[in-house]
Amino acid sequence: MDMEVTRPEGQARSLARILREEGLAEVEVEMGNQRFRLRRRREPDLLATRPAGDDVEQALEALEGLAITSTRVGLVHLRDPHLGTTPAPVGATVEEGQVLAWIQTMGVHQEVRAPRAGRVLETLVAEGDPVEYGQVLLVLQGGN
Amino acid sequence: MFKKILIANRGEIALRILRACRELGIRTVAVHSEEDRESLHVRLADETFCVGPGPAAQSYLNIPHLIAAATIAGAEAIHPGYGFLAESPRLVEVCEKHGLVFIGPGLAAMRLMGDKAQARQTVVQEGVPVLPGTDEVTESEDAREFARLHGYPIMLKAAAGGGGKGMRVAHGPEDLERHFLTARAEAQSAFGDGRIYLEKFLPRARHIEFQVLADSHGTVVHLGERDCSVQRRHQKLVEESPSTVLTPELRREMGEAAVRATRASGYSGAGTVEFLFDPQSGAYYFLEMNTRIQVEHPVSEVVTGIDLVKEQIRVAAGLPLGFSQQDVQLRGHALECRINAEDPENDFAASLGTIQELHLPGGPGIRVDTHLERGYVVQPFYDSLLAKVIAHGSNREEALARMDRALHEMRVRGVHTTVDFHRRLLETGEFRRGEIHTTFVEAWMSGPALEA
Repeated sequence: MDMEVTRPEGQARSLARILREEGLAEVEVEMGNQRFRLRRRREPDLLATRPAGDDVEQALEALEGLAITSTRVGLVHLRDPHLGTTPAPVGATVEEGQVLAWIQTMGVHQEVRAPRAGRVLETLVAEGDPVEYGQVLLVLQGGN
Repeated sequence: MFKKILIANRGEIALRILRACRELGIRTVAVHSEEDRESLHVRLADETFCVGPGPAAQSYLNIPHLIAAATIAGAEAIHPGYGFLAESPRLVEVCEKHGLVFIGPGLAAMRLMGDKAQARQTVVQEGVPVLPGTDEVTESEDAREFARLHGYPIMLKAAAGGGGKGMRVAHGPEDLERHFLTARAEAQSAFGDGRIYLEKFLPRARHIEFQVLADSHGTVVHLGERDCSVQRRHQKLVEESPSTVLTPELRREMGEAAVRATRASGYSGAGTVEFLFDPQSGAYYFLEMNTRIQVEHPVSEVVTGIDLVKEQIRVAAGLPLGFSQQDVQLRGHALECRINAEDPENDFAASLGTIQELHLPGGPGIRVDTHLERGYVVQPFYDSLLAKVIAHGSNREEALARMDRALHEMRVRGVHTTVDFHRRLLETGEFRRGEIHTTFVEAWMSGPALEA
C-alpha cells in the first residue's frame, strides 16, 4: 500500500476522528493486495450504510503507511511479557522481522513481526486491549 | 440465566439465536468472518468480533479465536447453531476447560450419539428397532442367510463407498448371487477395498424425525415428528409436520422410542431422532440422532408453539423444562421450503452474486427465517441456504395454499434461487397427495412430470 504523503503525522488518528464524526462504522482502502482499515464499535443501526465521503478519501490518500493488523483474536501486548520493555513505541525505527507486539490467545503469546523496516507512525491500540482479526494495531511508515 | 451469549455461527441461524437471546434479555456477542462484516446478525448484536478471513476453517471453525472472543467479552455460554462446530466434541471440551457453557448436549452424549455404531447399540438396548444390517460379509452363503431372515429387497453397500457410490439393490435370490460377486469386484477396483455390507432396502421409505427436548433434571419430551422425505441427493428440500402417514398410535410409539433413545444417551438440550419409515408395513427404524438444533426446527415450533432455541438456552442454564409431554399439542400443519442460492436449471450449481432486489412474503401463517437483505453478497465460502419459508395452516391444504401464495410473492433478484423449483414441486400430484419418499424428487425430475 503505497500512498502519497502530505501530512503523515497523526493521520490514523484523524481518520479515527472522521469515523466518529461522520458516524461511519469503518473505512477501508485497498491498493494492490495491501489493505488499510479503521473501524469502530458501532451502535446497532440497521439502515446505516457506508458512504465514501470525500474527506475520508482525502485523509486516506494523505496517509502513507503499512497497517499492521492482528491475525488473531485476543489481548494485545505492546510490552514484552518477560522483559517489560516496549519494542516498538511511536517514533521507533524497526527492522524487517522485528517483533512489534504480541497477541495473547487462550494463554499463548503470538508475536507480531514487522513485514518490512520502517518507523512506527501510530499505535492504535493500548497495552492489554482486546483485538479482533484484521484490527489495525499500528502503522509503519517508509522503509521501502 | 445467562447474561451474555456468544453466537458461533452466521446467516439465518445466527439471527435466529440472536432473536431468542433478545427475547430472553440476554446480551449477544456475534462473531464473523471478514466477508460477513456487514451481515445482519453482526449489525444487530450487542458486541462483535471478527474472528478470521472468509474461509470457515480460519474463522467460524477457529476454536481459539472463538474462545478468546467469548472470554474477552465475558460471555458465559456459546451457542453453536447448526453446521460448523455444532457437533464438535473438541469445542465442548475447550468450553469446559475455559468455564464456558456449550449450549448443546454434554460431551459424553455428543460422543455416544455421534458414533453411528455406538448409537445403534445404545438404542437397540432400549428396544428401539434399527434397520437390519450386517457386518462385513465375505461368503455369499451369509448373504443368503440375511435374505432369508429379513427378506428382499436388500442393499449391497461397499464398506469404503459413500454418497450412493458402490450401492446395488437385490430384489431376489438371483439378483443377490449376481450382485454379490460384481459388487465385491467393483468395490475392490473402485475403492481398493472389496468389503461389502448388507442392509435391508426400503424402496419407498420416508424420512421421519422426532424433535426431542431434554433438561438436566431428567425430563425428556418429544415435539412430534417432521417428515423430511423430500430430498435431493440426501439434502432436505421440504419438511412438514405432522407427517401424512403417521397415525396417532404410531406417533406415540415412535415418539416414546425417540424419548427412550434420548434418555439412554444421557442427553440434555434439543436433539433430533431420525427414523426410516416404511409406509407399506408401518415399520420404523432408528437411523441416527442429530445432537444440534436443526435447519428445519421452525416446523416443529409453529405446530407446537414452543420456541426451541429459547428452550435450548434455558435448559443449558440448568433450568427445568416448563412443560411435560401432555402439554405438547400439535396444532394444524406446517411446511418449510429451503430456498437456496442454486440454479435448478444447471444441476443446482451454486449461484453467487449480490442481491439486487428482495421481497419477502408475509401475511397470515407465513414465517420467513433469513439473513437476506438487498445488497447482501452470496459468498462462495458458505452453504447456499438463503431463506426458510415456513407456512402454517389449520390443515395441510391451508398450509400448502399459504406456501404456494408465499412463494408467488417472494422476489429475489441477483442470484438464481430454488423458489420456482419449490413451486413446481409442491404442485405435483404426488406431493399434493402426500405420496412422497426419499427418492421422489429424483424420480420426478427425471420423469415426464417435469415438463407437465
